[in-house]
Amino acid sequence: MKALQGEARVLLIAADRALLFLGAGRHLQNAYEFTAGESGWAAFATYLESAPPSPLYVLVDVVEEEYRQDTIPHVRGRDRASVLGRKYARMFRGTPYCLALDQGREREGRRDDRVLLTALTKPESLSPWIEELVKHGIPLIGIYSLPVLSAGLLPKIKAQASNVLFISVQQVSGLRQTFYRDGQLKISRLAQMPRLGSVPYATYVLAELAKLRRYLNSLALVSRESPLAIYILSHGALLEELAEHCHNTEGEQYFLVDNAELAQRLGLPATVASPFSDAIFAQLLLTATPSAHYAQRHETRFFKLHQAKIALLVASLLLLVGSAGWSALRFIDAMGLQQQSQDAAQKATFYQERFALARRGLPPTVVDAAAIKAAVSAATQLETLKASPVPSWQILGAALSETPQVTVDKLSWYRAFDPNRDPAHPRETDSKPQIERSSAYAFYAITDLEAHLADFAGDYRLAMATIDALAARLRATAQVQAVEVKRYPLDLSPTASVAGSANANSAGQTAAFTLRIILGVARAQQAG
Amino acid sequence: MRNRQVEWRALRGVLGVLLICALFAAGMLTASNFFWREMNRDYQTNFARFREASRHYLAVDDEERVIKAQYPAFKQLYARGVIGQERRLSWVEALRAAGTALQVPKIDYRIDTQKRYEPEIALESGPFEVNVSDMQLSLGLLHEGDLTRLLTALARDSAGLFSVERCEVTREGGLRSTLDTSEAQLRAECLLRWFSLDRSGDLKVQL
Repeated sequence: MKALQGEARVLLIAADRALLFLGAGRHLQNAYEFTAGESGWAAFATYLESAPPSPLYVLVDVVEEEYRQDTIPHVRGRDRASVLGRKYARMFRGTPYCLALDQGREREGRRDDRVLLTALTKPESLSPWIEELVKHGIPLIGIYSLPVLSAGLLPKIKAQASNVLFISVQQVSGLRQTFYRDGQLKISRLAQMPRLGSVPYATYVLAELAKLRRYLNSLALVSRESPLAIYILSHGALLEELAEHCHNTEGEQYFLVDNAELAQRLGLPATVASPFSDAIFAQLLLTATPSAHYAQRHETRFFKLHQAKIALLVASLLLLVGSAGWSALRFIDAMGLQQQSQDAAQKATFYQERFALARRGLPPTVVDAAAIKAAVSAATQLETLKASPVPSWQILGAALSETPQVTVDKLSWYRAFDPNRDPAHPRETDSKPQIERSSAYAFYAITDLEAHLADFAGDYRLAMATIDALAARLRATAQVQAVEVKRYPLDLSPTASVAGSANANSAGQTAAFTLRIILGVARAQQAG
Repeated sequence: MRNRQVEWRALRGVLGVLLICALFAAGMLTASNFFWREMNRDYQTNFARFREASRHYLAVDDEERVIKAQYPAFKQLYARGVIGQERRLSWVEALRAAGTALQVPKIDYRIDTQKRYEPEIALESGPFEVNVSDMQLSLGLLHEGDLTRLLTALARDSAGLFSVERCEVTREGGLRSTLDTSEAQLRAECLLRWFSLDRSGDLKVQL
């Protein structure tokens, strides 16, 4: 997203003036200076009106910035905001510009969070600039503190000591001394810097250093285990002058950093070769923007809008590019399909012509070969399924010829694919053993024989024996799958009620019975 | 409210751009998709044509073999009335001739409308439809053997293929000491199912 924010600018605000650095890509090039006062603010407003409304960072380097070490309960979200709000109200009354920098946790007790609370205690030195920005709808990215930002330079100058004192001179603000303990900002001090050449530079810097050193000692902030590493940014003759005066001792080690080299490392143009570090900090803000800043929500509203606009434009572009890409792929795919379709059509025509030629040699038929084959096959299958009562009745007739006392009253014959099917009782599923279907048979021919015994004299035992003998004779026939006596002349089952005459003369009594004969008809067997 | 107005003013332009891009994107997607679908449909059609044509071409030898082996049987089935339109007149004539020859005292019949056969077992008939017409026979017989002979004569002399589905024979009026050959001794009710295969619509087989 940063890359899409356009030509970002940095406004470095000090007590009596402000420097505006203009961006060129990810680097800063030119700078405009505006004095703090009606004329300077008017000039700034004129500039804002004429310049494109690109995003802008505000970097503040003023004396009125306070630092307080404190601890707060280890809470998050609204609770933390509430705790910090109370702290800000108590410590920094009257300014909205407050910050809390996390610096680890206490090792004992309830392990509270250690925080460095900072605030710009004189917001009126800032507000004319900010008001102009808001008035002109400039996307303000944030209001950043130069001491807080300068922590980002420590890795670039390889300042890894436990106690680091970082000294730089800004043209716009003066001499800034910032103390870091274990990489964390503890205190910072801004001193006025007389015009270069008006006082001995090195002597002045070292005198200011001595003041801060005393202050640090009074607060016991410097660790006794390691010496104080003092990094001073400067350039040219002033750097040489400093080298002459800075002598390492047991408690102090000096590291003199050339601004030109550092600027090169940060990607600034080689022309930035000056003892002043304004451009370096402005560039650092572009390349390593800290997350913490002082700006209020209403002040960054236009930046949020700017981001929303960029997001919408990016979405539009992605939509356009994505759909164009997808459509192009689809179109290419469709062209491939068109080519394949034409090939297939040509081949189809070719084979159709060849087939027509080849077919001329075939005997003429009313339907094609596949249909002939299917029709003949289906007709053959229907032939095998052809049923007739004749075979069943021939078998029955042969058995009855050996049992002359049986007189047939009724024959009911039907064809079934299930040997257990009884059309008279289609839903009956009684508990009697079921006849298993055999794959050897195409279907079953079932005959229900209703008959009676002629010359019956009342001897039921003899009658039942005759019927059983008939059933046994039928069962002995190969094709017969099952023979079941459905009804005897006398129902002897305990569940039936029986009535009749038991006299010796039983004239008029009949011995009627019913037999079911189930015949299996093999697939190849032609019935009828 | 004022802030919202400012925000709306600031975003109005890019929202318009987004809308135009979305419309343009939708248009491109719809058009390309429509084109692809059309091409794909053409391809599927032509590829199916090609596959069918090549299959036919490669199967010409098989076709020749099938025609040589099975077309005579096909023609025979057509001549027998199994393939093609069913021959109801032939059935009735065969029934009447058999009844006369066997001196069957009574033959009544009823043929129901033809319907599509729904087999209880798998029956593959290709492009042919298997149709059935049920014939209800109500017979008065002198002897059980008359029914056997009648069915045999019907199968032999009629144009068509039938299967007896059910048959019920009942003795009329109990046993008699003398046989009256003019009066039926048995009553038979049978259901015959006549099968025929034909193609539907205008494609009906006609040799």
